[in-house]
Amino acid sequence: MARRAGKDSTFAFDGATIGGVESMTFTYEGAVVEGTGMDSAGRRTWERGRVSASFEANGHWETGATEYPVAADIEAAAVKALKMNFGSTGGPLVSSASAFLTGIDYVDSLEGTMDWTMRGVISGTAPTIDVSS
Amino acid sequence: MARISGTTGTVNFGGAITGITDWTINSVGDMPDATGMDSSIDEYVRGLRSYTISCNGRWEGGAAPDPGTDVPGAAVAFLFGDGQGTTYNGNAFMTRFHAEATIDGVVDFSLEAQGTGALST
Repeated sequence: MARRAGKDSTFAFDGATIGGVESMTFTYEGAVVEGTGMDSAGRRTWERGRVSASFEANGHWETGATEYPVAADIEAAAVKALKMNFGSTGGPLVSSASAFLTGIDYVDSLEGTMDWTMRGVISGTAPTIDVSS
Repeated sequence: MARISGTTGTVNFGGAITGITDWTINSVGDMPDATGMDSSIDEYVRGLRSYTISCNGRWEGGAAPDPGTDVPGAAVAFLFGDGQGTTYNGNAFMTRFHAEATIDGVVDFSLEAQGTGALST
């Protein structure tokens, strides 16, 4: 095992590896529901509740690139494939997920580059997460 | 007595986790208000106790943490240590796993979990 350099990560949405990525995050959350009763010896007890996952990435826009999602992808009814490879060594961390795109931001500033942010939620099927490498 | 350096902490959450940079246990006890008109100052009684745990670290992969299994799954046995002989252990549901990669850093992760049952030392 070894630390992974963030600079070698890759982010793919709808089958296309997105260029210009500067950072990306993946969040997997499992709610808990309280099951405490008067027979719980004074301690709160919990059971597993709803499970959800989301992602976000941002980076620099590249002229002529064709892989970036557009507004139509937000309106699309179908989930798209999501693949997030965190770091340089071995296999991907999030190797299989189906996600709806929920937002795209485009920001252009006098001092910086033309940048983008995209975010979305995994829907229906739990993501496959490879932690073996 | 002596101060304890944070540099030797250890985390096991369903398996030993390397690359840890910090861990936290937050144990709380409810105090229902028992104040009455006959009280000269606010009164409380001991209520339910609960705790959460969390840690942050550099992602290395390996057997633990395993968010794909732990987030939707059952409570996981954990053990947090200071590396100086004190350990805290119990069982907890992983409630949040977060991974982040930035172009000028390493891949970092964080996890949060809701403890269930006793927190033992």
